[in-house]
Amino acid sequence: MNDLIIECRALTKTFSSGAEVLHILERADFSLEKGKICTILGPSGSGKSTFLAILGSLERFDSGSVRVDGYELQTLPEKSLSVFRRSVVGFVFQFHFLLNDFSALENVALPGYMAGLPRKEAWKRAQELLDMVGLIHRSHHYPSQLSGGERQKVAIARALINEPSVVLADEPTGNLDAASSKELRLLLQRLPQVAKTTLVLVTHDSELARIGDTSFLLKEGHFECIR
Amino acid sequence: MHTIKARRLQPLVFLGVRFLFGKPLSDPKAPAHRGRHSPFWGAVLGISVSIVPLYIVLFVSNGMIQGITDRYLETKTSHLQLGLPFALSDQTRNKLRQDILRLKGVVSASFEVDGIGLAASPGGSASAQVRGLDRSVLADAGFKKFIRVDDGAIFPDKHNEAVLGRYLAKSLGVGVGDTVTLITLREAREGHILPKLSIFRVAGIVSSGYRELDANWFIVQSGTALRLLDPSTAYAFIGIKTADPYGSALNTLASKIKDLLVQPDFSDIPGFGLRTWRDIERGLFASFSSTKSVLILIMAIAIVVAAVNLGSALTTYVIEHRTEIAVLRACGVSSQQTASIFLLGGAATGALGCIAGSAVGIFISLYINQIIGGIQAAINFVARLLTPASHPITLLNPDYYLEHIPISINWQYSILIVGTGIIVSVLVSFFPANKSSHIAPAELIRHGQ
Ligand SMILES: Nc1ncnc2c1ncn2[C@@H]1O[C@H](COP(=O)(O)OP(=O)(O)OP(=O)(O)O)[C@@H](O)[C@H]1O
Ligand SMILES: [Mg+2]
Repeated sequence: MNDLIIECRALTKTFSSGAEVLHILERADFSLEKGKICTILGPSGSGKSTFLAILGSLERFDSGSVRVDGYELQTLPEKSLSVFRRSVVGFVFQFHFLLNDFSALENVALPGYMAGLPRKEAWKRAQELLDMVGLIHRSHHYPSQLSGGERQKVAIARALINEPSVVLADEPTGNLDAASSKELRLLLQRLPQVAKTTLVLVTHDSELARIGDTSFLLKEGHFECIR
Repeated sequence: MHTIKARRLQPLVFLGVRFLFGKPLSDPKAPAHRGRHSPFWGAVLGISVSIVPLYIVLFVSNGMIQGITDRYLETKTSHLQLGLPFALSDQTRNKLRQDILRLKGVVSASFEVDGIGLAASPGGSASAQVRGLDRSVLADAGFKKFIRVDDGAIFPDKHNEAVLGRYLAKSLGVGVGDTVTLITLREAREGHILPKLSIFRVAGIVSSGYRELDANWFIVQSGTALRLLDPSTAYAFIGIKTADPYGSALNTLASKIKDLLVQPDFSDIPGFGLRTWRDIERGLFASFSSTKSVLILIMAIAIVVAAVNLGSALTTYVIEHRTEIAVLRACGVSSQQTASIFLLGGAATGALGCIAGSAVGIFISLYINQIIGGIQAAINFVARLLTPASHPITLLNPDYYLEHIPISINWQYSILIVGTGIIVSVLVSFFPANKSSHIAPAELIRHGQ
């Protein structure tokens, strides 16, 4: 199977603050097959988060091409970005970013509902996803009533509501203790099968990095395949 | 992948209400509210509080003006006045009156002679407006509706009897059965003005409910007035009432009356003597409406201040919740959608505030008399407890206001106020809405770093 879901060619990204120019990505190439788990490692400040943001269209880039599930991001107009975000990618951040005034179920259902799913369907799908992450009994609890690991699981369920082709996770276990990290790792490992998605995972956690089918090291603006 | 159609209102309303107003209060599992929503309800409260006085001022002043206008028109000015020469014969005057009464739209017509004099009694003296009325005034439903008889008769039965306005009787210190002296000036011979003293028995004391009017009424029979008053300072006229003094029918009627005057019988009566109440009381109503305009302007400024308050509450909200807005954007909620939340939120806040304020404002306006009475009673009760000898106070001094404020609820005004409130609320929401749409979701990846 050689079905590339992500393909970056000569991707260049710089940040300039005043006279100083930071070269984050320099003509970097990257590609990933559908249904795989890819882990990205790299020293702090190397640009891992920036790369994920580019893949998810949260951040623009300077030159090169990025194709995600058929969308050419370099030519995607500003207006279509939200369409791309809600239909192609799902984000999981280091911090859960759940909305405090919404229950776990509502947090998961909301992006689906906002994307145009009928209310019933969005809520039903959210329930299935909470069941999948093992939190169906906590559906009506609010984020403040959940543990860190549970919140992160809800965030994963939320990322899946619109059936994204790619889930982008940026150090999802960064704030968790060892036990919760393990649970989350097991969950993330199952994602490609149960949610029929591709996972790009940025992590410093060597245990978590091991679940990747492939692994890249981001260093000095380039990706180096280490597995 | 399913097809995307996000331009639907329902999800926006769901998100907007919950995002702006917080967890549903009905959800028992919801953890307690934190203080963060209070500025929002505060904005609702601010708008409603600023709306309430607008209603009260509008309805009370409308009612007050309406009440005063009605009293002027029905008890004093009439709807149309046709000025007559002093020396017109009784016969001509009666024929004219009968002819006018026959015109379509005329409800009553009554002869009157007005002049000034000085009323004196052992208790004091006061200037008096002498009103010489015909008994036919008693057939006028409007006159009888507004005139309250405090004591005695409504109309002087004999030519040496007078009916006094309540406050004139008060300042003279007289009651029914007492005698008062009326001093009028009358030209005795060419160029010689002499005071004329006449003694009257007080037959009744009446009130129109408005102090301005009955502060100096001295009502006598018209025949008496014709004898006592000087033609050069007094004014004789026929007061004409119609079914609707506010409509355009009044002008039509005026021209019909003018047509009557071309008859040879009435050749002595000048056509320019015909005036409508609007001409006669022009100064009075101009001052009413300018006072009202100033009050409304002040109130309108209060609403604008409340709306600006709402705008700044929303802007603060956007700034405080930029992370949550960024999360929504990362989840695929478009910038138009987040902006609409704030526009809808602004409109909803404005609408809530306006409707709550309108309800309270209309309620207070409707019960203003009872409320004032209640406050008055409460103050007097407390005052009596503290100092048993104290005099009871009167909040709405009938010297300057009507004793009972007639309230006229004008629904068009209500719709105008609510509509304007919502529009202004939406306008001030454009700024926070625009601000929210510029929040970049990329900041989430750098959160806490
Ligand atoms: N908006 C910006 N303006 C200027 N510099 C930025 C901006 N965003 C990121 N950077 C810089 O770009 C570099 C890469 O940042 P990024 O967050 O992608 O690193 P990272 O690999 O995720 O690091 P970490 O492992 O610590 O999360 C950093 O040096 C950061 O300071
Ligand atoms: Mg990072």
